[in-house]
Amino acid sequence: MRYFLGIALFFFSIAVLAKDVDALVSSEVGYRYRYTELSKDTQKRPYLQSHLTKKFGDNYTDPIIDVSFRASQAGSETNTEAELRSFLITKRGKNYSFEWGLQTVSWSETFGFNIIDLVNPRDWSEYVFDDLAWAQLPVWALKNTFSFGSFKIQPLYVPRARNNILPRASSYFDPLPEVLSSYSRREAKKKEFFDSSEGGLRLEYLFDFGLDLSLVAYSHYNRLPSYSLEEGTLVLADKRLTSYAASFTYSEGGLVLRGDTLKTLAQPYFSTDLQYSEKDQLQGIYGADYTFSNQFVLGAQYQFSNIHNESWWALQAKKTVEDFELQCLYFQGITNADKWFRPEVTWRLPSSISLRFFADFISGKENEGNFGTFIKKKQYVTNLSWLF
Amino acid sequence: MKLLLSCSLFFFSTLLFAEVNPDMILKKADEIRNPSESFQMKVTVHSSTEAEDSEFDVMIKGKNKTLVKTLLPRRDRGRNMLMLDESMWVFIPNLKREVRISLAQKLTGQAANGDISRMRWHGDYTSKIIKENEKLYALSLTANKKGLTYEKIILWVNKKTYQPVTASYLSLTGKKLKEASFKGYKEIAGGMRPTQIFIQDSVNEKENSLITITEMTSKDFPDSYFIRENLK
Repeated sequence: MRYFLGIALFFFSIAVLAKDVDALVSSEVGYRYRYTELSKDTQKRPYLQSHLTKKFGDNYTDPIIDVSFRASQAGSETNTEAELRSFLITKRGKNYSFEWGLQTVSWSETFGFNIIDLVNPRDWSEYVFDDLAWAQLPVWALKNTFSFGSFKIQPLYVPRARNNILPRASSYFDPLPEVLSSYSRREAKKKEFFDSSEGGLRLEYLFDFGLDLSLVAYSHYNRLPSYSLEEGTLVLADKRLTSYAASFTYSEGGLVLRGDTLKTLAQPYFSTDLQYSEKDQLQGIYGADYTFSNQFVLGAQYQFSNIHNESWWALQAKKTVEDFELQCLYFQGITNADKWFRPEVTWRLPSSISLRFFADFISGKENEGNFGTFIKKKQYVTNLSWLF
Repeated sequence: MKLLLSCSLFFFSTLLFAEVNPDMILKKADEIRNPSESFQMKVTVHSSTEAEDSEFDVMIKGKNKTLVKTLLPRRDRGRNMLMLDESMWVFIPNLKREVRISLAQKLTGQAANGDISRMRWHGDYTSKIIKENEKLYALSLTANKKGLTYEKIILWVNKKTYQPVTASYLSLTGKKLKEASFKGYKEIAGGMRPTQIFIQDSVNEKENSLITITEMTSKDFPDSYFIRENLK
């Protein structure tokens, strides 16, 4: 606890000091409590995050620096984490915008699985699905955007790739079945600058009739945790892959249509008989959401992947009732037994205090779908936060 | 004498039948609300249903490009919005991503996103004078494109000054959804402009919002300002 308090105080001082140097600062203090059934595991995670934006001048061409820190304590005193979440310099010109530095990039248009978010690896150790603020691992990247009217071209370069953070063997979020938990594992090697770079290109065009279409080509290391068994050791597939993606959104009245399609060449994966395999993976998520006049938002999605020829559907509903934001997600397999239900309530209290509670009820069948290893497991997460 | 009578008759008949151009009235009303092609304003929204007031920094270029930065409440800081034509995106800080939304989605209280991001009616609506009295014209505005915040509007405009007075926002079936009153006319950004818009929900009397423009300046922005990357 001492470590956490020390680090929290350090960042807090930076935040307070920065307020005197003409910078925009926002900070959040929170307490995240998670209880997972079956493993009877509880995690209490106090955290502090600060975001500082400093603009060097009043002109739009003047550079801007964004810095974000997060300090949190997970589990025990020795497990204190202090992390720089962003360190970004933005420089804009008449038709360009350069964002260079530590950052996260999101390209997906649909909700739930974010399949086109290829740039950042994930922290899978908590398997937080769409909780990207916690799951996405920032990378040092050069992102450049050139605008020509409705057309945008965005080359992106990551000089040093970063590995996923994977869950410990036999831990609650371990994606491997029990039968493989006794094998030792060889994780991915630490990547070197330039030798293990990633990069790609994104093109975007907004048509006059409202269709926003994006195409992506990206070369990256394998993001899907998959292992091959070599001489009694599970070796993580750590190879370079190429992905091509297309995404779209279209809005008319209260209706918004959205879709993501991703093709990854020679994607390593586990076959149903737990053999290492490779296949050109094609996956897609297509959906629509509608905002009713009473501000009730209802969304539906269809998702497929050709790895095991599986498909799913999902429903999402949102409504704000006075100080409460209510949200609900239901996800179910069509060709498999996956089920995921997430009710969520955010209570917006005065003085920018928010209390957010959500629960994940996940079930599945072994060797099927996304949740084969999450049979009849539940987790409850409460997050109390104060923004200042 | 005959000639004089004919001329007078002709003159009065032209006055009688001269059509007041509703399109021109709408354009003039837009000029009252918008100081120039490109401008910046700071807006606060006080809503009867919200515990805290909201504050936005709004950058507008033409009728189809708007960037809205949320300053208050603090918990919503970073929930910035971008409007390009009838397309709108909002940045969700929790998700660290921009999400496409409809213009009709709620900004805060009774104010829809389009209420501050889309300040021009001319070009978006076909107008027709449906009523007039000594002081005011009543224009019926019908959306001529899809995806706008409101399908129909009944707008009352001052005959002399072209200042908008009230606007009733209607659904496609003609059901009154909200009523907006343009108030607090004062000298700002080189003209007499409304600095307050009071929006009253027509179904629930207790629900209302007051949009106040606290600052407004003409300012030019490059196109590169209005891209999704700037929502962060």
